[in-house]
Amino acid sequence: MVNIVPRLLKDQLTKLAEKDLRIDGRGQFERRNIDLEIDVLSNAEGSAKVVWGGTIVYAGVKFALREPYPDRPADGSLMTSAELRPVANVKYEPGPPSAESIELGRVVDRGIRESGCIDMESLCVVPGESVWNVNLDIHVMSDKGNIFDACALAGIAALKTATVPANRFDIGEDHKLPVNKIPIMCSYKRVGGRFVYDPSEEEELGGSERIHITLGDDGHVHSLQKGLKGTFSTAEFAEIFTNAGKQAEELRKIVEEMVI
Amino acid sequence: MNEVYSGAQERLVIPGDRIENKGGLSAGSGIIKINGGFVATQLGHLMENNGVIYLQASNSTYIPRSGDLVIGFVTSMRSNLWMFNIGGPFEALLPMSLSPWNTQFGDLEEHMVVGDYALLRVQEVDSQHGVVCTMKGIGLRKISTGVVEFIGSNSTKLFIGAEGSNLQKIKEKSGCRITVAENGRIWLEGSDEGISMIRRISSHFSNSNTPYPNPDSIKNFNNDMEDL
Amino acid sequence: MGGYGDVELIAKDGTRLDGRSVDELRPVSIEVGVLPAARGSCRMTWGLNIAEVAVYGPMEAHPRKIQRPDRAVLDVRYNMAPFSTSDRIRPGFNRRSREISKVTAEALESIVMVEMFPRSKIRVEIEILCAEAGTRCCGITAAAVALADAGIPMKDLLVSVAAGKINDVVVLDLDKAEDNYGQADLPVGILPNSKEIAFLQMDGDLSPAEFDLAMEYNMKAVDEIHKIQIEALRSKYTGGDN
Repeated sequence: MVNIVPRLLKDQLTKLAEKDLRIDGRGQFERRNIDLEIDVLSNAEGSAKVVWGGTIVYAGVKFALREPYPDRPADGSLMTSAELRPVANVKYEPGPPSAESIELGRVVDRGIRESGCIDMESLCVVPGESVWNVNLDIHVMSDKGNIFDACALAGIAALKTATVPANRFDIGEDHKLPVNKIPIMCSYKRVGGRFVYDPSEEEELGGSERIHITLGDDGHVHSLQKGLKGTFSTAEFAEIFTNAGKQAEELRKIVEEMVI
Repeated sequence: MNEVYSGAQERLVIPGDRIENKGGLSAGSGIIKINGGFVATQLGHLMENNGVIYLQASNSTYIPRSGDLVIGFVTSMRSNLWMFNIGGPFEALLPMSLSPWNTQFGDLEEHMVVGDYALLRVQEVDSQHGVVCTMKGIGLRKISTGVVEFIGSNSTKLFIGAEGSNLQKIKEKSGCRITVAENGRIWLEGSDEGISMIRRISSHFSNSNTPYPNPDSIKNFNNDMEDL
Repeated sequence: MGGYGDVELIAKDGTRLDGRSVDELRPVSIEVGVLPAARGSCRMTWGLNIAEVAVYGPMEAHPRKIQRPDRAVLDVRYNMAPFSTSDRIRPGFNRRSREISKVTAEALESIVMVEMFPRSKIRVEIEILCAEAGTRCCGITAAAVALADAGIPMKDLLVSVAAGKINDVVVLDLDKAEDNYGQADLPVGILPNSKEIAFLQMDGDLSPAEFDLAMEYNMKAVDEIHKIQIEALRSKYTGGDN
């Protein structure tokens, strides 16, 4: 489905931005309400549901044993994929994964992987013979804006709750998957000339480029992605990068409070 | 399912509900006849008027009828017509000849392009649901200022209120010009403060979980109307 | 239908492993209006199964070649999330999901008044988030509710339920273990008001008498589930106090 941007919407977003207002009444860096639930799917070894405004995302973790790669005989692996199925919005058409869907999965994957939140050696069962592969699947059920942040949040929360099903594979006792960091993604969108945090569906339709920043516990950046048409200045980036640090801290608290 | 239908009192029905026909009533919209009996086809309230039993659906897609005032935006163009999204299941076309301009074949983009809103009237709906609109008529025009909001075709009645009471009040308090179209879109013109006030009120419909007036959205809307 | 009766699934007094009697359903619950982006939606839990359904449309059917001049096209997708089963499911083409999508669409076509929307398309997206036997029944039952929530005109709702056979005993609503080691499974889709059958599948081994008993259990369960469907749709509109 072709997304047509009504010209009035663009004009209106620009007008509002000049007065430092947003279409749903939020401030420039104000986010919508978040509900995080964990252990919601009984067949997954770890799971989470994020309701972020009207956006709804599920994440589930599954484990499988595999032979290690010859060059890394003691390393397990993490595979993150996000599926943007047509259930999530009228704008998503059935068919093979779109470029959009693949970008979403890869950006979320990079943030989690590069944060080093999982020590791949801890996934080793028998060096050179058998290691765990962790599959993190993220399923978007309702897209009302900013699915990137919702997917990343659901993903790390699901990993934090995951139990390695060693018993089922007859290789010992079940144990918690060691996840020692909480990477958080913060997304910004240029709407009516300036960047706003946590764009809504209307802002995504009427805005231009977006920037995704994933930050680790220590404030280090682990992944960046600029998407869609548009350019930005280093000063603009500095502003949102500073803001992302604050947002990430708040979101990390939400995960920590939920997953002890 | 054989609940007795009690005259003036409206009741909630579910698709498939059998409706007892006591006194030679005829079936109106949302009601079908199966084996001589009446059956509800949508979730909504059962109503009766002038011997017709009909259903006021809680959530129904906008179905264009000729004469409807609608707000649409251009989705594509050909050399002699514009195609409009009017919110229903079918796109509507506006032929060059029914536009208010003296347009030359192939010069349509001088007047309206993809993404532009316009206030239109439905001229004709054929049996194949081909919809033809016109922009010839009083007030019909391209919308190039203000804001278009969506409240849903099921909410327009509530938004307007009995004899226009709600709409009148909203207009007075906001100081805005408001045009309510039958396809559930409203066009607002006025100050930013006025528009954001109306948007706050209409958000009870547009931002509720469902695009139709549920009990919570109605309650919140009515509270807001009292507070105005 | 796997082990054919060599696993004890039912006690002498007719009590099943999870404590249910032969004609007892697992716990069922339905909630409507759960997906804000959809026109109509529904979440159904049935035992440990979880299905969420979104309905979009009616809208213009694209590409044009799928348009039907006399009716709307029901575009139904049944999909199991990768984490919905004990072994992860690879996303992508899946013969089982394709078949279930097809029979589900055909079942729903018996209730949806598709002739009201020529040339258009109604999309029904069934996502199974957790699967413990009986997901197709759960998906169909939930889809009917989501369609009603979306305001799509329908001449009836649709309830799908399955009866089967374990240890030579006919029982209603097989759970995971019973499905794995049972001898037969008979899922049906019934229009709850007219009691017509819109969906029927079966695999395994049933005598004519066992078939009759299984259908009897199914019919009884249809009324039970229909009540839950009605309650879910009503409470959305009446704020839960009806």
